This record gives sequence, C-alpha cells and structure tokens, in this order.
Amino acid sequence: MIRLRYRLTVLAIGVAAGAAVARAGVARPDPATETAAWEAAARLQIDDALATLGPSTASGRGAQLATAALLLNRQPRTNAAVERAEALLRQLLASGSDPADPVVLPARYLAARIAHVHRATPDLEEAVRLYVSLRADADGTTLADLAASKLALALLYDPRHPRPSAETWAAAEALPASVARSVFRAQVHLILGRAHLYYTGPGEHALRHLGEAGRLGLANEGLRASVWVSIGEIARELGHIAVARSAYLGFLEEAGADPRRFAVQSRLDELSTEPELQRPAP
Amino acid sequence: MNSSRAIVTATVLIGLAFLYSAWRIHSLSGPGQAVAGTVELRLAHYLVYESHRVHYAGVIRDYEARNPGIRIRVTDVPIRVWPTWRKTQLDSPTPPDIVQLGMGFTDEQTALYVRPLTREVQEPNPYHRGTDLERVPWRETFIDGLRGSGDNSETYNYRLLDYYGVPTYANTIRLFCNLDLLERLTGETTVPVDYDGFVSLLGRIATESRRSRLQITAMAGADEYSRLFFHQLFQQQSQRLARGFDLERNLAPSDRESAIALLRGVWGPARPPVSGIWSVWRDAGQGYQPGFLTALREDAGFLFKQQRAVMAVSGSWDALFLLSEVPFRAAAFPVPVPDAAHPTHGAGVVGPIGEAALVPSGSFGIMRRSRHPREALDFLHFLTSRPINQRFADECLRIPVVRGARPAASIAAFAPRADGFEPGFSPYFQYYGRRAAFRTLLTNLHRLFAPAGGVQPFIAGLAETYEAAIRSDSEAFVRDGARASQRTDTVVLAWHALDAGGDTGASSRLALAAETQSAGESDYLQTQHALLHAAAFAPKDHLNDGRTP
Repeated sequence: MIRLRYRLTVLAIGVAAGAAVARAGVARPDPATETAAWEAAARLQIDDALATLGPSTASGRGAQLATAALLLNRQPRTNAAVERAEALLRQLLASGSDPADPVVLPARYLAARIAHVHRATPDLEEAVRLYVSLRADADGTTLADLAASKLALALLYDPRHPRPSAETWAAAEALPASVARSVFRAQVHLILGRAHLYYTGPGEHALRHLGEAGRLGLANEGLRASVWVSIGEIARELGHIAVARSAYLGFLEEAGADPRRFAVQSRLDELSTEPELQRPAP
Repeated sequence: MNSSRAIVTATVLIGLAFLYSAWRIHSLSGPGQAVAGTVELRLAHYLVYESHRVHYAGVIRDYEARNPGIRIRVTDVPIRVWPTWRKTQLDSPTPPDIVQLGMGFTDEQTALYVRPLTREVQEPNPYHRGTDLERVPWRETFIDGLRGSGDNSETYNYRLLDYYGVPTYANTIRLFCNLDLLERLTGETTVPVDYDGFVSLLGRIATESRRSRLQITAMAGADEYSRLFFHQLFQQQSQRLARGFDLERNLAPSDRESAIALLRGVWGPARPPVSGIWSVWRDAGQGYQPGFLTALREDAGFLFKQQRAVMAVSGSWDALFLLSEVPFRAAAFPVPVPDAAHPTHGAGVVGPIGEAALVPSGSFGIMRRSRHPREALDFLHFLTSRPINQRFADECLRIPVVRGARPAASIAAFAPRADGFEPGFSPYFQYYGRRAAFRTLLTNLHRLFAPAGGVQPFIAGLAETYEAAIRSDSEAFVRDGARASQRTDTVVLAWHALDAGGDTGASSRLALAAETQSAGESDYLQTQHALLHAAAFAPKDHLNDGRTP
C-alpha cells in the first residue's frame, strides 16, 4: 500500500513536471526557430519550414500556427492535410482565445480562410461568420483589416446569386470606413470598385471607389497604374473631365514602360479641349 | 581466327566507349570542382542557335580570362525537350548553377529551385563601374526596370514578391523578305506598307509562280510562324471590340475578360465583327504554302532560305537565321495590317499597336542549390553588363535590354515601335486555362484555309466546340486562381508573423502580398460567377457593346 502510494506520488510528480515542461515549452517557443520557419514560409519553402519546426505537437503555439499554415500548401496537397491544419487551429483556439495572445488572431484568420478557399467544398457562410467575428473582436488590427477585404469578396461574389442584394451591397459598402490602415482600406475600395464594374459597368460608384483606392495608395505598382487608367477612362465616359485628366497624368507620371502610354497620352490630348460636363464630381 | 579478332576488337571498342561515357557522366555530375582550386559553373539554356553558341563561347572565354579560377560549362538543350530536361535537372543533386528561366517555370518551381535576387538587384552592377550606370541599381539598368509583365514575368514574381532572373533580350515580330526573289518575281524592290498592297502582292507572286512553274510560295508558313501573323492581324482588328469588354476599363483586356465577354454573349466566333476578322485571316493565309498549318518552324525556315518562299513572318529571334545567313538580299519590315482608315477592315482598328513596353525575356537565374552562388552572381553581372549585352545584340542580332545598348544597324527594323496603341484580344487564348480553346482553334483552322474551305465551314467547326473550350479553360482559370490564393495565405501569414517579430520591411511585403492576392481573388471569383450566371447578364449590360471609341 505504501509502495503503491509512493508510486502514485512519483507518477503525479512526473506528470506535473511533464506538464510544467510542456507549458514552459508552450510559453517560450524558440523564437529564432519560428522566425526561420516563417522566413522559409514567406518564400514558399514549405518542406524546409516544416523541417525547421519539427513535429508540431512537441512545439509551442507559435510553431503549431506555422505548421497549420504550412500544411495548407505542402505537396502533394490533400484534404487530409487541410483537415489536420484545421484540427491544429481548433486545438490552438481551444487552449486560449485571448485576442492579445499573438497566435489567436492569426489562427482565427486562417480558420476563416480555410472555410473560404481551402476546403474542397468552401463554406461561405462559415467564412463570413468567422470574418465578421474576427473584425468585431479585433477591430483596428492588421488581420481585422485584412479580413475586411476577404469579407467583401465573400459577400460580393456569392455563387448562389446572380447579383448581390441591396443589403449585401450596403454591408460591403460599409466596410472601408472601418478599416484602420490606409493601405488595406485602399484594397477594400479596389474590390468594391471592381465589383461595381463587373455587375453594372462604369458608373459613379465604381469611379468613387477606384478614386479612393488611388488616393489612398495601392502597394502593387502594376495595379496602381491600372487603377489610374481605369479612373481616367470611367471619368472621361461620365464627363468628369478634370478627374480624367488628373488620372491620366497620374498614370503617365508613375508608369514606366507600359503599352498604354501612347493611348493614355492620346486621351489626354483629346481632353485638352473637352469641356467639363455639368455633373457633380465624384 | 579473323572473327575472334573482330570480336575482341569490338569488345575493346565497346569497353572504351563505355569508359568514355562513364567519365563524361562523372565529369558532368561532379561536384563542380574541375581542377583543385578552380570553380566550375554550369550554365544551361535553350537558345540552340549556332550564333548563340559562338557568342556564349566567346563571352565565357573572356570571362574566364578575367577570372582564372573559374571555368564555365554550357549545356544548350533544344527547346522541345527543354521542359523535360529542366525538370530532371531541377530535382537532381547537382543542378546547373545558372538556368534560363521562362518556358513554364511555375511559382512553386521558382520558389523551390531558384535563388531570389531581390537584394542583389537593388545594388549597382559592378561591371558598370566607370560608366553612367555606375551608381544605378542593377534592376534599373534594364529597359523595363525589371517590372516584368505581371503574370508571366521571368524577372519579378508578383506572387512570390521577389526578383528571380535578369533578362538578356526582347522580341518583336516582323515580316522577313527575300528582296532578290521579290524583285525577280514581281519587279518590286520593297514590301508594301499598306495591307491591300500586301494582299495584292501575295496574289501576284502566286500568279507568277504558277506561270513560271517555279513553285515559289509567297509566304513560308509553319504552325508557329503563321500564328504570329494571324495573332497580329486579330489583335489589331479587335482593338475596338476589346475596349468594349475591358471590364476593368484599364485599356488592357485580359484573356479572362475576353472569356467573360464571350460567356455573356458580347462576342462570338460566328458574329460580326469577329466573323469578319476570319475573312481577313483567310485572305492573308492564301499566301502560305499548302499544308503550312502542320509544318514546323524549321520547315518554314528552310523554305525561305532555299528561296522557295519570298516572305516569312517571325520574331527577332530569327533575324540572324533569316537575314544574315542567306545567299540573297533580305530585309525585315513591319507586318502589314489594315489600318483604321481601311475601307472594309478598318472599323475595328484603333491604331497601330505599340511595342514600347516590350517585356524583356531570355532571363537567367541562379539555382538555389548552386554550390557557387557568389561566382554565378558575378557571371550574371558580367553577362548583363552593357558591353556584353551590346555584343550579344551585335553577334546574335537580338534586341538588347540593357539601357544604352542598341539593336545592330542591320536589324534597325526590329526596334520596338513606341507610338502605338494597346492591342486588342487574341482568339487563341494561348495562355488561358488548360489551352482547350487554343487547341480547338488550331484543330479547326484547316477548315478556314483549305481550298474548299472558308469562313463558314470554319465557323461551323468552332460553333460546336469553341465556347465549351473557353468554358473549360475558365474553369481551369478558377482552379488555378484558387490555388494561387491558397498559396498566398501561407505567405501572408508568414509576413504577418515576421512583421510582429520586428522584421523591417515585412509590413510592406504583407500589404503587397495581400493586395495582389485580393486582386487575383476578385479575378477568379468573377470568372466563377460568370460561369454560373452569365445568362443573367444581357450583352448590353456588359459595358457598351464594344462601341466605345
């Protein structure tokens, strides 16, 4: 009996020590290893990154998040790998959901992305729900800003409907105002502008959103050049000559060698004598 | 006795051949150290022209003379087997150090096998020391600043957000003409610049050939050569139509937008104005030799060089082959196409197509597993220095891509045209989806050009298959777009983590990756939506029916 009690005590101490060690590992994953893994992941060196991390179950929360992100793109890509990534994220979020925890928001964002684009059969409703809740809980963060773009895409291109309803448009139109960083707000405006062009063609709504995207500044210089041309073309068709001129000039100043330079310069020349229509500027 | 001696001799010869092969294989797959203290770089490309072989040999000789500790071995592989050869090399333990990029290098292959040059291209090229480019970042020494073309860039990859290659040449398309033969057959000393004059010339050559029984064809055609010609004709004829279905209104209608316009019924192969463009193709195609659609480019080249064809449409890559290595006077001209003032074929034309934004090509990158990346980088600096690029342009008659280098005087006609408009669209959809529409068009072209064929049989052939092929390609585009988006999620999360870890520059890369991802996502989601709901959009909803000036 004493021997049994002794054994149980030793076992309890062992379990407690193991848990403490594990917790210590959870609390203090090797930052250099994780950074090396993320650096490899940024260049899609998936196998190298996974090898750097080692078995995810033995690693910390940061490593588990990285493993989940990497599994989504490990070759050959399988549904089982996607499910395993989802399981890792569930495990992570079950063991702590404080938005201040550095892995919680990325895990929630990734879960939303899995529902939206990674599953064999995307679950749009779940993706929307996850994006909305992430934005509500983490307003002002980079990932909440990113989620706004993805939410706009999920709302506006619902494959079940030929066109978005008025309520859907309203929900999407409300998104840019709540995006904290201008570079991500520009992205949402770009998505909205393109959606208007897709569904209804060139009009004041498309012009307003593309104008905002251009004003706020897009990061991709190729996209930026195209948006200048789009603004110029739409504004010209709508009779906003000053806006068109300004956009064409913006394009000519920014774009280097571009097949559209001659056409845009020709447009600008044509507009030099064109009167502004009596319409309110966008 | 004699037979046993022969057996011994044969055995010895076979043995020697085996030993030689073994030695060659060993030396080719060696560790890259040819001689103690000497670094051996291996360079692989698919420019298997004799002029290019001679040029590279000369350049390498000069480089080795400046760098006695380095030896460079070149492997040139015919373009047809290049993708397979490259694949085996990429996975081998000893890949070449420097490899020509392009030709279907996927994002994943690029990320896995090619070393990013992002940091290096921001620094000056040391071989420009003492010149006006001395302080110019390497990337800005190229005519396009290495901005590439977006999707098919061999230099900057917009999805991976890194530079991977440096280019060596650009391409333009021209009409090559045997001036001696032209004069002998027609009395003309030059090719007419106007389209009607050109079509008339095709007829005169055919008539004279029949009359004199010389069996000379007006145009040397091959699958590829003719495609370049028809592509140019169509792109110019469809400029106005393409502006009409330019969804983004950015004067750059893509295959994706052309496909959506077709799904929405804005255009179709059986309806004007496209049906009218097939007539232009048929008229122009009468100049080719019988069976040109199945001929190879080598067949067409020989036809031209053997003086059995007066003209050929090809790219600047063939300038040396078709202009210099020939026993007759030859010259290159712009491809004659109908202009906007043409009475019957000018309605769809906006103006000449500009070539100011040529996308540099012939890029070389350093393999990630190169044992000598420092030496490989130095050789790429040397290869893309202005004097060497100029030498390449002069010796191989290629269009150079380093600022300040000029095309040789003999190929002045290939200099890119700066004052032109954007092209229309291409019915080939050559790089869209899984190329089902491309194959469909090719397999039906014989109906258009056969003596008993014509526009109607061709349209009838396309009617059964073309739209279905575009639909299939669009589905593939959606799958590829979703796949690209999935890949970028890992990249975005990575930059987010590195940003949180204090990596300066990570936040701008995060923004760039996310923005490029969202733009790509909106492209494929629109296409997916169009596949499902195109019928809900009447053609009139799709912008303006192509009537925008």
